[in-house]
Amino acid sequence: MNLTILLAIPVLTLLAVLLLPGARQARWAALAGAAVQLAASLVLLLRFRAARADGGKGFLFQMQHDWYPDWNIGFHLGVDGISVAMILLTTLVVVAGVLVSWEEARMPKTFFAMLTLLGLGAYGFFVSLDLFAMFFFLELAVVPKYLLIALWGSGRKEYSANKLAIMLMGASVAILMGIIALMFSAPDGQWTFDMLRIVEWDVPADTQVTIFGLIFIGFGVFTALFPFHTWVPDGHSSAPTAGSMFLAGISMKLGGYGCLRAAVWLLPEGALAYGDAIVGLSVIAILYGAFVTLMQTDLKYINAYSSVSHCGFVLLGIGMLTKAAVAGAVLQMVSHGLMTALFFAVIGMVYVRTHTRQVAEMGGLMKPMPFIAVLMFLAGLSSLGLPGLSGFVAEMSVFVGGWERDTAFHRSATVLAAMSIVVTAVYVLRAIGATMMGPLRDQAHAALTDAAWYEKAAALVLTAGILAMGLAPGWLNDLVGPDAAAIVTRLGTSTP
Amino acid sequence: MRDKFYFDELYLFVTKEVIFRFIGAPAAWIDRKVVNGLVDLTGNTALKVSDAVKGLQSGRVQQYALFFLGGLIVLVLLMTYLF
Repeated sequence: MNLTILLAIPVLTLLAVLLLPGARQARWAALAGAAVQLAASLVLLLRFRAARADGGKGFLFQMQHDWYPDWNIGFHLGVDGISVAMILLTTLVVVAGVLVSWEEARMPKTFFAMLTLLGLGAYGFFVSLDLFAMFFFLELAVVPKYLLIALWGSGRKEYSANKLAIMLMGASVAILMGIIALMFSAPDGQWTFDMLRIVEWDVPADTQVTIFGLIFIGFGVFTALFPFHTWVPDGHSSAPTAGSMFLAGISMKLGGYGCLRAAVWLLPEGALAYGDAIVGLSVIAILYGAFVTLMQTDLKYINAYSSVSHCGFVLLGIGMLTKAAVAGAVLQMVSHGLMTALFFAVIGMVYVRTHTRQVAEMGGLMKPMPFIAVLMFLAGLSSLGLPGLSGFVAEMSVFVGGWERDTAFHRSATVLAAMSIVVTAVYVLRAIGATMMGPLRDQAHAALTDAAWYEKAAALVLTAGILAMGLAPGWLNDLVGPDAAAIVTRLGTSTP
Repeated sequence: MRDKFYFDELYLFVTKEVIFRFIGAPAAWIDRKVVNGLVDLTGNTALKVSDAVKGLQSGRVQQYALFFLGGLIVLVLLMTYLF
């Protein structure tokens, strides 16, 4: 399969959205582009599985073009199981995000263009095997994030947009410094940004440790590494619904994927040196995020802080450095992406009807809007790790992988992280109970309508993903397992 | 049995009086005031510093000439006393 298709579709979609005269055509173009991309990613999944079944190893469907030959910057594309999983997640979230924004009234053309551009950045990031190209696409995705919050946001939107942009730009500086430092440690002085060649370099251990710190912390900020997580609650809460979905469902995953691909895979000595620190920080993020979520009264802040907690599982899985845990980290990225996008979509649906996000001002909403209430239960139950839904599969895999490390430190970290599930259950059930169950709190809410067709469609796309992962986790585990193992095998920490 | 062995009361006491008050509330306070406070402090310090130094970019050539002259004197003094 030609991977440039995955970049060509969003580029053409972007052009169509911008060039078509009316807002109605623009949103249909955005939806059509997102749907075609979803179809393309499903074809990619089937082709990838077929190629692996035929004995294909490592990165498949590779293609290479020169981009800036003087500095050996190339346009090297290729995918492994982890990237295929992330691409699938992105396509699902993009389709749902476009659908949820169907009635966007403020500058709709630009809005859909921003969504498409953010998607393009993510697809480019996930298919790039060249560090520079990867960095380029990472930055490409920051611009629409800023604009989505600053132009279409609510509340303290300028503050949140600035904070997000500055913190992510600061993180990008760390990543760029790390990449440049890596270039200067090229063994024969021959720069290359091609990860398949860098991985064969023999970089001295202490250099690896230094560079790992820069790259991992940089990408860590994107995925809410404690204590660099404070852009998450403000950014997610101020963003418009689709913006929150894209931030939590796609943007934070760029960080997790980058940590794994650019830091752990390329710099194994750094991963071994920093592993325990990552475990420590992620356990703090998991528990602390969960407890802070308990105290939130705004639905969006609840989901945003719970994202800090859930993304902690991604970093925990990576820090444990075992096959099951790293595979679990990838599963958690997919799971969290789907269920948190669904949660933000539902919160958006509730907000446009009730004009409030305060839990205390709602109650009994299940009567006027049963469909939306069921969706909220589904997202919440997946969030607290109910078996049969996606969260259980991912968190279980991280716990099993964490337990494989038989030191007291790693095992107590695993136990502490597992205990957060109880706290998650408390805040999820309290929030859903207070807003959806019981008698109607505000009689004006009795006349509210249930989900419209586009909202139902958006929710069904994400629900299908959550159920496909929760009820039949085998296919996804088979997809990411071998490549998670390939990363960990370089470290020598996992039992075979 | 009428009071369900006070399980509901026990549960409410543990969650509301212990977990919420002694763990949740301090954690939320720390996050907003300390962790986020440091982020805001960094941003506000940058603003204050730029506010303090923006006067240097006055556009007045005489002032630039004064800075140039002052710098020259400092350099000359440094050169004379250090080397």
